Amino acid sequence: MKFGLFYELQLPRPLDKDQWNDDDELRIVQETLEQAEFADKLGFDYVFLVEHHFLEEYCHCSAPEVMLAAMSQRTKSIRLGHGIVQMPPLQNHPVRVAERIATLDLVSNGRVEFGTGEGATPTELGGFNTRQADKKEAWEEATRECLRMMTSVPYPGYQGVHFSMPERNIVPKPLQKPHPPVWVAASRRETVMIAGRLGMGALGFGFETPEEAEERVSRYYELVRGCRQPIGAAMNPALVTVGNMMCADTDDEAIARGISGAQFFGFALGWTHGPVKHGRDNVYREFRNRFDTAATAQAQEQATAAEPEDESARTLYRAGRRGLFIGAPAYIRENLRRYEEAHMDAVLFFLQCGDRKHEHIMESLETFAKQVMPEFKERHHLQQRWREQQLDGVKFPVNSSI
Amino acid sequence: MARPSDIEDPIFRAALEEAERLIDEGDYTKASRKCAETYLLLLDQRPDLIPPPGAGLGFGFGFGGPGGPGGGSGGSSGGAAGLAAGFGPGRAMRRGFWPGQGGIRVIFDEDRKPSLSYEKDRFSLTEALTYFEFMVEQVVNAQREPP
Repeated sequence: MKFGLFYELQLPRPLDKDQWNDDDELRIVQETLEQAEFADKLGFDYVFLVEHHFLEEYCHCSAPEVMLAAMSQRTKSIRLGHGIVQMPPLQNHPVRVAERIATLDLVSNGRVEFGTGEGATPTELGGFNTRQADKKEAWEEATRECLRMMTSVPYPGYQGVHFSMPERNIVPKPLQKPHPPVWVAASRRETVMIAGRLGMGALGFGFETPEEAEERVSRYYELVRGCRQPIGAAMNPALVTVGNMMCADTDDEAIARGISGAQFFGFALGWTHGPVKHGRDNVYREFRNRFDTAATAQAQEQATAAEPEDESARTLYRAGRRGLFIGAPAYIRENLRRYEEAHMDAVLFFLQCGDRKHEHIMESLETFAKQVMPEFKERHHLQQRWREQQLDGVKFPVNSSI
Repeated sequence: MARPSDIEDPIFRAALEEAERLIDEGDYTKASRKCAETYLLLLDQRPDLIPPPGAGLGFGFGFGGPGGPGGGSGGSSGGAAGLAAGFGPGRAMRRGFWPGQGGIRVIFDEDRKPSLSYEKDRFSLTEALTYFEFMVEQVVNAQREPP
């Protein structure tokens, strides 16, 4: 099983001010670059960055291509992933996506992972005048054509519902042939299955449990084998899931360092889906009003609560809790072994969230890399062998970093 | 994950096999509509699966927002149970809300009787597949979990 990091660039507002300090955004950007560089040295396999717009405090990563390009110059091996590019053309024209992906692939010596998605919140979609009812179709059209742009000489042009253009040759072309591994954001199980049908990797954003992962894996690979028309020129059969992580010497220390950040993550995520006062909310102050001390935060975490049955609400619930990766190495290791047994290809960790300290994130990365990761790396060849069996009979080219 | 072959009820199996056939033939709009109509049929036979009032339909992320628990726009009420992370015990909700962002919405009148609202005339492959995969899962779950 492989491991990676996942970044929103969360930046809570100060409690005592209405806006951030002048150097807050500089700090979070530089700390993220430093964390990615360190993760590369430690042997992490991936760093994925989201793309969100206008989601104050929850996410200040609105130009991931710039961040990933900067990371490419500070790292050697770590794969650089879009988690995801918002593909509806009103947000990102597919030509510009193809150009940026190819250029990033060249500056990084072929390390791009091309994650795609629709976008989600009314705040974001509304900011670009993308209708909720159109975003899935827009994603499908733009992603398919973007991949064609990377492989066609010339691109013959297209008359579509969400964009049209005449014949052109889009340059440069990516280093990875025919194109970088392609993924789709899959916060719902239906989308995981669609990923299989279209030959895409599934970036599982639903905080799936090992049991849920296991039930999806076999059906996903069944659909991959039955795929008749991949969305691109090569398939990327791959399943990943995400989780919030803080690794420390003891469970108590990890929870003390990490639980508030996880709770803010869940709180702010929910906030983004409601009506907001742009430029005038203080999400962190609202959060802290309800979680006024670290002790309160821990008490809330321990409170017994029924997990929602609705998939979307359940994701939200899990996003704000301790989950399976906030703890000592032994705790995290045991839970990761369950995902490994379920044949999950990779797990991506949120570490930077809420008011977590940079030094704690760095220590967490190092502790995890030294005390948890090695055994999974040693056994990854078994997962690769299992995958080869799953892909027996697949008729299309495969380009996957797993 | 459920497969169409897992469906025991002949009516539902036929309906979803037809939806799958329509997808294979490229008629994504008819397939989407077929899935939506099948969902109404399921709710008619299994009213215990009707979401409670105020529940989000496939868009339940209102946790913590200004809409507050149980109210607000979008799916804020659907996220109400997610408040359990910081607000005490949440109420269990029916899983499997119709994925309402793709252009077909399920709306409920005062008596919780569902009907369909189409926001557009044409549907794409991935929209049809989303509805299809959702429905297969719902029907199989329903047969595994009697009322």
